[in-house]
Amino acid sequence: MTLDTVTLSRLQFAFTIGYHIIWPTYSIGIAWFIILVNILWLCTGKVAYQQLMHFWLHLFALGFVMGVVTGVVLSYEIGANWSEFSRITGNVVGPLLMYEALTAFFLEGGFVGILLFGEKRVGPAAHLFASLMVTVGTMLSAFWVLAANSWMQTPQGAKLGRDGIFHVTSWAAVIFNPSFPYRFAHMVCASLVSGTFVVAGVSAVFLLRQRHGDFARAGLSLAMWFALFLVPLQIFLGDQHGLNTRQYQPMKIAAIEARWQTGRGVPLTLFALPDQKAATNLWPVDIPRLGSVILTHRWNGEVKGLTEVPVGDRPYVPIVFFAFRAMVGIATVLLVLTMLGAYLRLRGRLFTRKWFLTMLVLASPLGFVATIAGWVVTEAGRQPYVVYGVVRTVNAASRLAAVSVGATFILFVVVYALLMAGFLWFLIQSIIRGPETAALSDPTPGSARGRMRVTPELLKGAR
Amino acid sequence: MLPYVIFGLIALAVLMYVLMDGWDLGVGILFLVAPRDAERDQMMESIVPFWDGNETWLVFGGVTLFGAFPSVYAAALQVLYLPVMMMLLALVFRGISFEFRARATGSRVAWNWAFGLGSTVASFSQGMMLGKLVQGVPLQPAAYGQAITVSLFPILCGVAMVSGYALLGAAWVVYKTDGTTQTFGREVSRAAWLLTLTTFFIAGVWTPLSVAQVGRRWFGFPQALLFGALAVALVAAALAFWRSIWTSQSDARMLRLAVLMTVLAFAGVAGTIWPYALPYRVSIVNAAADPVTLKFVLVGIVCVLPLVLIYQLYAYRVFAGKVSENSNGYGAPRPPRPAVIRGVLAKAIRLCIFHERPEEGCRRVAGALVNSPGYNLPLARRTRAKLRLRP
Repeated sequence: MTLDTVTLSRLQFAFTIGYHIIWPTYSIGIAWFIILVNILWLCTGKVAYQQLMHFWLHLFALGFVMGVVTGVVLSYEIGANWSEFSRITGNVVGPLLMYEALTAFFLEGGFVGILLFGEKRVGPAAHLFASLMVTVGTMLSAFWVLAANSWMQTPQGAKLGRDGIFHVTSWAAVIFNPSFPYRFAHMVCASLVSGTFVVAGVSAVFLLRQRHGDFARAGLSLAMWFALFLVPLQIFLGDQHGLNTRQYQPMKIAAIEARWQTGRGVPLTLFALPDQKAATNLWPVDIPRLGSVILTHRWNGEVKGLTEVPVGDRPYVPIVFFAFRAMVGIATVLLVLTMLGAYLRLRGRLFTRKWFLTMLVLASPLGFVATIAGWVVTEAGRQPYVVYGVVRTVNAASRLAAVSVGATFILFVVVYALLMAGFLWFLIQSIIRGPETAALSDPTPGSARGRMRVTPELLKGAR
Repeated sequence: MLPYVIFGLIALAVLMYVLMDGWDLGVGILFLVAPRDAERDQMMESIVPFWDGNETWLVFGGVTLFGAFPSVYAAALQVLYLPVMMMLLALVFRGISFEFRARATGSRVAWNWAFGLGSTVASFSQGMMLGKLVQGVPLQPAAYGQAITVSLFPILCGVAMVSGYALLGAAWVVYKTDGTTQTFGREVSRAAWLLTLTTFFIAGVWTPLSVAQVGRRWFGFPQALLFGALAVALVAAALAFWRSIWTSQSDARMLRLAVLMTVLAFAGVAGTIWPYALPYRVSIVNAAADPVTLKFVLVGIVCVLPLVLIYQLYAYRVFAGKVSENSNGYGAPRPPRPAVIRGVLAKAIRLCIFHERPEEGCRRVAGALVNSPGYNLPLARRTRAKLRLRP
């Protein structure tokens, strides 16, 4: 691998977009939870639900702002680093991203202020409405950006003209391209699962520290109900997504399975060291026939191998292979945790088993790891193309000096690492501080967000 | 026709961005010179609920350009690679400071600097980009961003942008805060005003001298009349701003004049670049995407943008009024609205028609109008005298 402009641009884009996707995942997951506890609070009037809402709004704000600042970067990076891609696909992808900004970002930006700071000003009903609008915004954002991404995976509804750029023939076909419904469902569900395990993990921290019992039990209980429903659904959606990928991007599936030769009734390779040059696997651990059963849902189904296409058209197998195993491995862990949770709940010990609560705390970031791994699979798996089968990644980059891209890449890594440290620091601080029980009777509502300021009153109090 | 309409809409988005993010970037720039943390708190709290919506205009402008003029989006951004990246990184710092600073205890000073410097660098980069665009974009070298060429004109534009935003920010501070913070806003607005006018003046002389196209555009007949009128109006608005800093009875007046100055300056720049999408290289028509794409873009904008404006306005209304120095941000309930805004028609009808003595009712309606905030024009004073109303 030489560090030329294209490679550096790929590294920078992969890093900034991979880092960014954590935050929408977090926002979507937490936003739904906030709506749920908000409705529960308005319906039941239980204090624990109000505490949950305020506490999670506080944490939501932290992740949301990370998403906003890292998202703005992307909207300009596409043109700056991938100007050839922008020129070639602008007729198709550009409007989709414009619709994202128009229908989603504005909605989020307009209502997030009211959601976070306006509760006392607009009353509970309008506040709930604001939280709904922000959530709808996050979902619409996912809709448009996944439509754009899916079109790049399974392009249709547009023709590559003689001038070398795409021209749209049908917008409906572009937006609802074959892989879009699967990718959208899989990604939204991934966000919900990730958010759910964050809620579960944080609630488990409180239970382990024996603080804020009612609040933590309500949170953990809701989260585990969610997980019981969502984790199996996500695994089902992933399977369906896989079938769809096999139909439209067989080489991606071949890379996922490290399947070099086309065959029927192929085994499932649990583990191996794929050797890209020799087009073979070292030390494979195979389960006979299971590969065909999983991929085709038939005993003797045919699975295409990577040697069907020339060397230059193959994705880099090891990345795809291991990222996929990371994703599926985490899915298995989360499924086991969910089932354990259901079992412990039946026995009435969900809130008291320390080993289980500890495992939930450790599992709380796993959803995001799986999400990023999944994106690595789907993005690395469609290489060497940026628009599958049509435009190669090497032909999509800007004509920039490698040193410029290298410099900005290093800057992004440093700055984003700093941001992550800040995020985790303030997250942990918020968790240590816990829900603000005093906020319920506090007449000065600004402090309900932990926004302490030195005001004259406070100084008087100090004296 | 369609390309012009959409390019006009993009220009409108950029103007909205310059105005709205102008005042919150400006508040960030003023962070560097604000006297104490008390003032900084109040300044930041005055923009916290709005900044995300404001910054969205930047994203919207960018991706609409991507959708409707992909070749311009592609070419301009790679030519401007370094300033664009500088702006993005600065915006990251500045955006994150809103959340982190509010939660920080020990690291507060660091986030003060991150917010102030982030805002300043972002504004400066935007000015540099504008400067490079006005100079004309060089296309087709081997690779862009190879050497960091230091040229004075973009730097001057950067300084002009920073001072212009600072002026908007100062006016915002005067409008949305009270007490010592407001006084600080008034004080600093003079410095910002001087710097803005100086840099704008130098840029105004330099541009036509160094860029031939601009000279022809500005001093050719008949458009010279238009540019002359713009310049005169800009100077008049600037003088009115200077006069209203300490004497105006309405705190909104400075912001209104600053907005007017921004709009006039923006019109000047737009008139200079017209009809190019990429200055002096590619015209708007030549750069446009397919008609199919343009129609799709236009339908979306026409259907959704009015809604966007409505709920942005709603958000500004929810957080109307000042962030008082004695309250915690916008946490306090909304202050009562002036009568003119809500139910004025109903009240006027009730008073004028159903009052026992209609002429007395009408007098009260007129009195309410004349006494409404921000309505202290000479005409109003005369009306007041005629109606024998106490102000």
